[in-house]
Amino acid sequence: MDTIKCPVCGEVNPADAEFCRNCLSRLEPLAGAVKGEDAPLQPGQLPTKRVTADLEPILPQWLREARETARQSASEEAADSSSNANNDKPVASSKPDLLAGLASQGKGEDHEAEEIPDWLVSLTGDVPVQKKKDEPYAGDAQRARWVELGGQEEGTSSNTADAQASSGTSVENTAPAWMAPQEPAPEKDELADWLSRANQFSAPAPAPLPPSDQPAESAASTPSTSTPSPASETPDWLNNLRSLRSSFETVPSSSEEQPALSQPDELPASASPQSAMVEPAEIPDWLKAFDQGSSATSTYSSDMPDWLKSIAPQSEASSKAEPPQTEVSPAPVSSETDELKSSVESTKTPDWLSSYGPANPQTPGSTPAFVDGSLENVNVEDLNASLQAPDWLSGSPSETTDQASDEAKPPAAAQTGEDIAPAALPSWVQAMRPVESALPSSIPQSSRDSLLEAGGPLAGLHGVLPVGMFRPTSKPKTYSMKLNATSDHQTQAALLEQVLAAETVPIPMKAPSVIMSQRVLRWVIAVVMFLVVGGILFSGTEIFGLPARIPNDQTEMAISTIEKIPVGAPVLVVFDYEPSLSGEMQTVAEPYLNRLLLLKHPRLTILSSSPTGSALAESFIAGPLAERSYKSGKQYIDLGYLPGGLAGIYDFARNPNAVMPLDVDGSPAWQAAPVQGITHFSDFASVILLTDSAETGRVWIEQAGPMRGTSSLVVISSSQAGPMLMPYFASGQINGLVNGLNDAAKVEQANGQAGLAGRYWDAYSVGLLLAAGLILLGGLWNIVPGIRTLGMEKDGS
Amino acid sequence: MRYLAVAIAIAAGLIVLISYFVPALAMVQSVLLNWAIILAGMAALVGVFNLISVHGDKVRRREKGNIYSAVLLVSLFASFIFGLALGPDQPYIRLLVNTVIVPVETALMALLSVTLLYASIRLLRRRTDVMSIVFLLTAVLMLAASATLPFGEILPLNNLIRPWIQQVLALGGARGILIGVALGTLTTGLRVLFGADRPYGDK
Repeated sequence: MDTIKCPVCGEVNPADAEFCRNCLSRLEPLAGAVKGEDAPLQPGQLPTKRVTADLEPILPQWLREARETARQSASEEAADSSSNANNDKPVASSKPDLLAGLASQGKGEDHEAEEIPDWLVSLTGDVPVQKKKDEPYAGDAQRARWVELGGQEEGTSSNTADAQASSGTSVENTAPAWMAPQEPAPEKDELADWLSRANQFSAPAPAPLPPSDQPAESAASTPSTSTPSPASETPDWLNNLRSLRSSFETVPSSSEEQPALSQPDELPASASPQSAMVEPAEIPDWLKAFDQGSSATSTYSSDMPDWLKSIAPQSEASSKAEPPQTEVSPAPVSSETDELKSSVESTKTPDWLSSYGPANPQTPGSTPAFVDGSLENVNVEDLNASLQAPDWLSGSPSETTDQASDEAKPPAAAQTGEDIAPAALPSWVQAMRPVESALPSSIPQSSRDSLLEAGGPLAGLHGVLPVGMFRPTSKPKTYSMKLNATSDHQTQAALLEQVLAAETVPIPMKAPSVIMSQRVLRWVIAVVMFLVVGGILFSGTEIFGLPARIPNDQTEMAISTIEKIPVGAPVLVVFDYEPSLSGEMQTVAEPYLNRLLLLKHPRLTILSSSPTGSALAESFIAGPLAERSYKSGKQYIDLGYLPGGLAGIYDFARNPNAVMPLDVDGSPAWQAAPVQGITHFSDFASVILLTDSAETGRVWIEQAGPMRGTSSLVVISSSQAGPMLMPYFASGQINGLVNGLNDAAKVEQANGQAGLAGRYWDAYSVGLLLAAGLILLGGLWNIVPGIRTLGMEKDGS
Repeated sequence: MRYLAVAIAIAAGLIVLISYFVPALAMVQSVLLNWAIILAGMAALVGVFNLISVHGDKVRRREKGNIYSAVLLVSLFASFIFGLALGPDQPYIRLLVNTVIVPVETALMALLSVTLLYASIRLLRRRTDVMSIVFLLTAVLMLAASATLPFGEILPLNNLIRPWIQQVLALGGARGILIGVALGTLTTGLRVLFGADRPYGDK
């Protein structure tokens, strides 16, 4: 069968045991998790309030006997004190002393029986209630304090009723501790009680006990009080401890198998010695060492570290340092301290002290007094559990030491004597409790222990605070990412999205197919016109009838003008047309000039206001008029180009000889036969203007008309210039007008012979009809899409 | 100098204008008009020299299309030299005119006839309105009325519609245009005489 040896007391325990059956110490490392119901309370979890008074019947026999003994010890206290002086195991006196401070926090009993301690009086300034000297040791009020510490709940509940019954005052058990300093402390402080008794013990300075047996007593004798103790020099806790020892010896071994039954549910993992006291099977190791190891340990001597020096007086007589400040002069204190020290040096160090001792033995001078070696090994979770547990259950060895050191300074709750209900922790205390989740589990234990506090009250301590425990647990405030947009905003946003989407939609461009159709259509028109007109022209057909002559029209007036020209008279012929229209102009002028030359044989004077007019005149004479056999210098003279435009025409009309003195060959013009006798413009019998431009015709008519006198002016024009010259014919400024091929055909009809106009007439007529037909058909073809486009534009606008 | 130019221009214009009413100034007017004719002739010659300079630069710089410039220059100098040496009544000059100048310009007019026909067909697609339709109808009527059929004239068109259009519509429009041109010419002459317009180079 596997066994495990208790690291504290050395007791051999079964391998599956969690606590030592002898000393109730944890067999596993204190930093490990606690099994079962001893698991620490989780953050936010309120401890279950238990009425430990119900556990009274199930208390072990030894505990009940101890309690009974405590009750009985009140009357036998004097006798027990003398017997305790000879007791071999007085080390236990220090243990109850340590627990006494814890018990005082939750107890409400003996409010009136206990007097306000002197040191509290010095702090609060209240008048202490005089303690009834006979009551603390009579009846139930004289029960052993350390036993009651193990059942704080019980004591709280039962003693509260007792206190109410005895004093008639109600004590609010649920009042928080922070409210305690506001009120006087009417209830009895057990620690103060012990201190007062310790003072009583020390006052008479009894005979020193054997150093090995009475370390606590020697410590208890250090403080001096003015009140003598009725129970001689031994405190009640020491008496109770002695009775407890006797009860321990009577505990059957079978009780080891019932740890769960004897241990309250809310006992934390770091079960305190107080809890061990309520279970015979789980007698703490330190308590056992109290019996066995006290003789073995002898390190409680002059090489004891400072922290141990400070612990011992505080744990054994926590009020030892305080009351002397107010009531005892320093000199006696020092003498008593020396006495205590001497007694301590001679006392063997108990196991519970040995468990504290290795905490930091190598640095005794710099280690604070309340440093506990076991605290270094205590897991933070255990600390949390102890914080959550009731005060009377939280008295683990480590906490006991802490509390003992804290009790050196009178706590407010201890001063007021008020209870702090375990389940009624204030919210701010709940919020301050460390969160297990905030503890980094990955941090090794060695690194936790090796951290050295650099400042503050914990300066110089190693591993007091867990690494990473105080990380900022507050999480950054989360802000909602949801937009607070109204329906209007959403509507506008949707509209904006639509606008932006419309911007990105490409606009389709029109296909350039129209260009292809234009080119094709143009070629079609050209080919059709060339084929039709050219075919008819080159065929030489004359099937189309010539236009009929209209009496007294501009053409008939022009023909009649020829009749008025004398034979052989000088006639001025002006060739003012461009080579591009020479074909039309020659066709139009040819019948009229042939008629004139044929009938009147005039002397021609050729003039041109166009640079190419002279050449065109020569070509015309040599071409269509070739049959008339006119020779230059004989029948006609070419004066050439008349520059100056309007001014040149006007000046020529005013003085032709001066303006154009030479002919086209450079010879003196006005001496030639054709121009004999001509000195003025009006000397010409007729002026015949051949022009394709209305502007040129207008200039000649306007500038030369006033100087022509009685001579006639006939204009032979192209079809495009005829309508613009018609007003001059209508106004009488010109005597006749031959306009286009149509009028030329009429002249030919008047001449009685075919000419160019008759030859071209069929092609000309077909071309005109073809053009009219194409425009008509094309217009009808294109008017449909044009109207459709117009409708679309109107709809768009 | 600027005022001198304006004074000369205005004085010349006033003298020519007054000479219409004052016969004594006819000689002065004639001198001024002769100067104008000479200046116009020299302006044509200057234009020819400018044309030679521009196309000569293109040929010298070997710019794009310089071959056409070269042909132009060659033709110009040939025409000038032959025309100046032979005269316009020489058979070679007439041959040059009849075989080069006249056919080229006539071809341009033939292309213009096709283009105008095509534009008339596409007119209603480009611009569909009442005036376009009236314009096309008038053109069709005048074309048809100017032609004849093999069997004779188109009676309503040749004898009635065409004369009415020519003698009424066209004549009325032409008169209006001519009156407008006369008024514009008068206004321009007065502005030049008063110095408001200075087409002779000054602002």
